[in-house]
Amino acid sequence: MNKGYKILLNKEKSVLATNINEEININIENTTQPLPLGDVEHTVNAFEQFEKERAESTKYRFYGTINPMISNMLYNDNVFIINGDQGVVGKKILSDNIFLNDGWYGTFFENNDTSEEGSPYVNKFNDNSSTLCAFTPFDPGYERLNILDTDGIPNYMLKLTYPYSTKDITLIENNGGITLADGIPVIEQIKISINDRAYTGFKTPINHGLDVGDKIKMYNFQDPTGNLVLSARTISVFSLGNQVNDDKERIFVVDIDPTEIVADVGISTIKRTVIGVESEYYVRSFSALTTNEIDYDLYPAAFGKNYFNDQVAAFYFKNDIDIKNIRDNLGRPLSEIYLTIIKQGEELDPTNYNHMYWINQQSGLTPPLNTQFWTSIAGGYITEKVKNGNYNIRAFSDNAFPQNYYTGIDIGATTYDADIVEYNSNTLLEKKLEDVYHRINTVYRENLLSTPNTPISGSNLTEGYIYMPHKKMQIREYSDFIEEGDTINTVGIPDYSTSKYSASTQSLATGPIEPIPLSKVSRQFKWRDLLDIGFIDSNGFGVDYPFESGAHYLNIDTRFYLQRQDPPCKVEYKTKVTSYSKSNFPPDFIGVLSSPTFYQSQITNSSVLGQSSLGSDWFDIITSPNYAGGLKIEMVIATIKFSGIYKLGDRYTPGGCIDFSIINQKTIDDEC
Amino acid sequence: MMNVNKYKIPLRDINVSGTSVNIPISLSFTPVDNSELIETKFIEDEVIKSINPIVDYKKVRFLPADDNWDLIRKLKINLNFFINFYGNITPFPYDYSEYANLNTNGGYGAGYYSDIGASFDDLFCRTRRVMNSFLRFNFFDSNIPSENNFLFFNDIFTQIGSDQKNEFNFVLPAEECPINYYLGDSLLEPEMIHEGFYMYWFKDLVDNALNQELEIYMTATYNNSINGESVGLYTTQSDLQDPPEAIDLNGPNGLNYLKVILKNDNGIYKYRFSGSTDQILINGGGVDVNPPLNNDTPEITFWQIAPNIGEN
Repeated sequence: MNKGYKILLNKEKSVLATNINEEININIENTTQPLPLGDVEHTVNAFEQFEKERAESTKYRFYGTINPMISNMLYNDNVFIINGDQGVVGKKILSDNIFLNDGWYGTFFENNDTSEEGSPYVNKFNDNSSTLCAFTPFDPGYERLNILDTDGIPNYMLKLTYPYSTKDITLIENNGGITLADGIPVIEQIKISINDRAYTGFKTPINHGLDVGDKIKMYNFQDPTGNLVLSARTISVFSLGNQVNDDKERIFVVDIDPTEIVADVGISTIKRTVIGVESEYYVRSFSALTTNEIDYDLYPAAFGKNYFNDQVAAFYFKNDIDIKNIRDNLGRPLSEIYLTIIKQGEELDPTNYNHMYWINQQSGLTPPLNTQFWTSIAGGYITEKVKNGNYNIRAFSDNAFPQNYYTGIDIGATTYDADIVEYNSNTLLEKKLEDVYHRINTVYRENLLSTPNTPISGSNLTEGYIYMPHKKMQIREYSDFIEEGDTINTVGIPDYSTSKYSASTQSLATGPIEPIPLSKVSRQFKWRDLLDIGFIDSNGFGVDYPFESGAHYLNIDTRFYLQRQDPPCKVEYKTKVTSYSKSNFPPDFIGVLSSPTFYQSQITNSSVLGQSSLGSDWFDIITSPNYAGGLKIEMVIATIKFSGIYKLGDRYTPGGCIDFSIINQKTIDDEC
Repeated sequence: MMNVNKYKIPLRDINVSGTSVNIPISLSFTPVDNSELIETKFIEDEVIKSINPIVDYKKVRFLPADDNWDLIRKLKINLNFFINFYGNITPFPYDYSEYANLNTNGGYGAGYYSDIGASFDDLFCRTRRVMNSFLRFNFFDSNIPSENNFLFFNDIFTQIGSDQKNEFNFVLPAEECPINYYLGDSLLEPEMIHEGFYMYWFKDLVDNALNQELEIYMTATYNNSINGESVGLYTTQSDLQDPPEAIDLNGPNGLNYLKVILKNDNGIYKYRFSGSTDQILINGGGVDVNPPLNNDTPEITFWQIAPNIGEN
């Protein structure tokens, strides 16, 4: 808008006026007014915020319970240790006083035992239970085997571990330098007949991890006809299992005539292939995230008694575990963490009468064995029984088999050799084939021949306990879908991705976990995304666990099963005819009666002895004043012999696989 | 008013009258406001301010320790109450006169269940009025009553254990049956009572405390189900003839509270009772967590507070 203002010169106003300089002030005044802004609303979504914080957090807190399945079926000796007037002695318990109580072998106290030190009767504090009839297990008993320990010396160490590296092993001894990296060795060739057609089955010492229809590459098999051309093709797995479909995890069948192929044990190997990419086979090594027993708190779980009356242990790790920038053995962020349980060794304490007995028994052993209760831990796998098989944990101490195992395992170690896995860079997945097991035994049993006690058959008792030390906790799950991307145009390719075309030469990513930056050079990668915590995909893959106080809470409710190394499944009822004179009866006979394998005895010449009015019971005979000892007592002694698959010395107790119906059983009632 | 851009218009430039001078005043502006800033900064800041910070609510278990921070595996607690020796005969007060066990062991140890109205039948039959009576430890964040905050409590219920029985495992008469409790470590003393033996508190608070030691304060109350009374207890005896003044009850050396120190001792979380001068054994108090003999059980003895305490 124009407004016209006229400013007249002075001379126009008056004839007397002259023009002079004038200043005209032009005020330009401006008033401002803020532009109105509409109401601004922003909704803070608590769920989204929770998800954001959960996704960003790398802190984990671990807690859980351990349900033990433990017993002392491999006890040292059927003795009750007493610290009495005679010093520390072991009172031999006769075989008919050996009882099995909730899986534990031991004996019941008698009245005259209760005044002795070590009796549960010596219990001053709030013991409302009757101590008569108290069951006491033989050593190693509760205080040496239970997860919860009453003597202040932890029996087991809990650690958190993760897979951090790999190693190669030789599963079957061979001259060809064949190792696990060359594939799973074959140990037996089996003819399988299906619908009148001959197929060939192959047995592997460990789980082969194959499914029907899988493609395998077969190496170092003999091809007598030359028709198979195994080096140039893959073979399809036709079926699993033997002729009766048992043992599917260890036997696979291929559609090859058994006459056309010959496997060399330990030399011939197989590898699974996926679209032309062969799987890798290796042992994973675990690294510890925690150090010692200070890292966690262990206590009895509330209402925590299992079916066998064993106390369930609860635990929590006190400090947070931050997994940021920790990579697994494949250079990926951690997707699994393991609760590792290691059996703790025990230095015998000469001030403890219970320890003193074993110090005395083991005094003839060379240091440091003479002061140790447990042997060192060996590691291996539950493999097939094969002559040249290494790492067969069940064959430990059976010298007919190679004694190559993982050693140096103890609570102070920071790394542990663990499971055997298969990894295929096409599927980008690891598949566990075998769990590692640890094996221990007591020094006394392992070296029985070097102690004052003579074993029945003159051999050491080398069957020990085995247990699975690593319990998996899945903290993240990989997507079911394989992503692919190019460094030219794909943002956010994770640095653990696998090179699409040169995976075999790719080195593992190290350092902080970051995406691969865009570049002008095209490099193709493939990878699996880690699914967000709380997201479960349509296939059920995914993890979900509480997030609280800025940390993920991961609970593990696991069992700890202390198993026999080689449970004897065979039982033999043996009888032996013998005769005793008064000089060696009953001392020799008491020795027979106190043998854990003694079953029953019978005097066979009681009619002869009866003529002397000595009765028919052995106790009546030897206590009779009429018995001068001239007559020999003829007896039939029955013992039960247990044996397992491996030669591990005498077995005092049967394995759970034995049918007990052939043996008389005594019911324990409240009247003891 | 500020003059800017002063221009001169010489007459020579004005040749004729009626010359017009155009003064263009054009305000062409682009509307600009704070909406972008509001959207990008203000809202973001406000959102962050509106979200609660992550507070670590993780609690850990604290194990009891002695004065040297060595762990203890069991703890004995004794209670003492006033009884009326004189049968309410004038001029004696109606409901109390002496601690029951004042003349035994120099005033230490426990009083008897008869002091709190329990009969032999109550003890023998474990009646609810006895078994449901309990000792409560209340924990506060400071020893200043006007401003402290209650944190948590531990309850310890009646125990009829070996101290309450004779050698034949038979319950003692109420006049001989001591009011005491044994608490023990759940691992090392599995047959003992564990409830009340441990404390559970925030790990974060202890880890970030000075020297990783956090001080809290405890009071004790006996809740008697026999008569419905809650009886305050001190770890020192009340002298009826010379009860302490109110000023003596609180503060660092006050009787009202028993200091408890929670500590992160190189990864092991512990607590200990830290009695003030009058609360420790050597000065006649009840806190004795370092007994001279190894086999002795650490003890804490409580005495009923005199009802008229603090009146003068």
